[in-house]
Amino acid sequence: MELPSTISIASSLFLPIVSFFLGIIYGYEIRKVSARLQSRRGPWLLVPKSLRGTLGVTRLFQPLYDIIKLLCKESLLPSTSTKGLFRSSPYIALICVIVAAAFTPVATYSHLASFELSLVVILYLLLGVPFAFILGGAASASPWGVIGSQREAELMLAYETPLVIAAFSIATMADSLSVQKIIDVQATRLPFLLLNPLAAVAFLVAIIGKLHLKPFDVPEAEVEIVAGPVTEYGGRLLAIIEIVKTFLIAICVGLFIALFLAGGLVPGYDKLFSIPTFLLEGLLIVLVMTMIHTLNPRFRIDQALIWYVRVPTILAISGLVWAYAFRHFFPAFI
Amino acid sequence: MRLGLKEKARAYSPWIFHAHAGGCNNCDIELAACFAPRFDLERMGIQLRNNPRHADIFLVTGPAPKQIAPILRRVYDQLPNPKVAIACGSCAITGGVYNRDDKKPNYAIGGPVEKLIPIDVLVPGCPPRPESIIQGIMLALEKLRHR
Ligand code: SF4
Repeated sequence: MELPSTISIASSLFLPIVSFFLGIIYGYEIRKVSARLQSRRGPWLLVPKSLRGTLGVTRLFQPLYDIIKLLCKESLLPSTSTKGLFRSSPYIALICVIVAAAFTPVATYSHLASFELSLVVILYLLLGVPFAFILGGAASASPWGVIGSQREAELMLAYETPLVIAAFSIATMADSLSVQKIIDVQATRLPFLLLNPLAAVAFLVAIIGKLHLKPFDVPEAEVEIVAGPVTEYGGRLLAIIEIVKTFLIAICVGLFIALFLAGGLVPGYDKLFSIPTFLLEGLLIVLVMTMIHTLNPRFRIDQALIWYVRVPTILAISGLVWAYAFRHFFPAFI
Repeated sequence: MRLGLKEKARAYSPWIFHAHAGGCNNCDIELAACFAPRFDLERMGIQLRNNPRHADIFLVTGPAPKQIAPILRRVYDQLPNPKVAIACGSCAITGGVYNRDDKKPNYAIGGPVEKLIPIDVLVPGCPPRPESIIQGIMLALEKLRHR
């Protein structure tokens, strides 16, 4: 890795902002598509003309309005909580996620992604988010928070395994732990989605667990344990948590595209062309995840654990075996 | 009408906490209809939250029996400021069918809700139609914006 230049510093500061706005769009898509699948309307894309005076022109930035509203509210601290930990854990998650966003390439543009171990860095930083949530839920001293934290810890063990194995099977095939290198390997050949679909499916399912979408929203199960670890959060602290979730969607989707879809690069086209394909692929992946989210009921925590071990982990391990076999039979590929 | 970003965000994404304080459950069904396909309040960014700490609007249905009255106050205090409260249905406003004779008040009623918590908007009807609940929420938003 060369010495950081002014451009690379500027781009790593700029990338989290781009990621945040991508996350807002994806968050809107999740709400809109799940509403349409339930034959509701969902937040208006274009508000009817007669209501524009009071309701604004578009609701594309609905998650952003939620966040701003929460930022302008007071936050209440429960008297029984461990105050320092309760207050600081959302900020820990925020820092992890912002740094991870600087490492995740948006449409192949990221200077930090060319760092040799960037894949490992991203995976570790993403691990910091559930840890912060577990700490915050446990520190809130509310029974819902504690149950939610416990479930979060169990679920984390379940989804982290296929996530990491799938990511590393791709690293094995590309013979590199740098996200930029993995993208470059795919750009000249085939995307890894076609070369190793087993790992892709395992990775996607693991992402769904990480984002707490429907079959795996056990830690935040809204009618069982009010909101899980975030039950006692309100106002500004809840806004920080919403920001973290927004970032998390963008990072997970961006990582999927980088690892399996060549970061939006299409062979034979210019690098600039990867921006629209990146957006399109991101929207498609979120669409698939939202369909799974809407069409499924929630697992119980033990079912979720067993299912994660039975299906995605096995898939990921077969993906890893396939990666080694691939390297053995096609050594010329790398 | 030009709005600042803060007022805009406040008016565009209110989250509702629904407190059921006695009552016959019909108002709750009408409220559920507001979030169902026909009236879908999520068009305007309104969400139903089951956690008072996340909510902006406190919506009470039912006459608040003596047993529930102190809890209602406590839950109201758990909403972070700024907040507004809506009393939905005749029995939240006056006692309705549960308090038919003013000379002989019902022994079990701790309400009307206005006696317990500061209410901003009243939505009459037994039960009120979803349209009137939506109008009540819109009126509450006008107040919430300037809190
Ligand atoms: S106002 Fe009427 S419909 Fe509503 S809860 Fe009371 S009795 Fe039931």
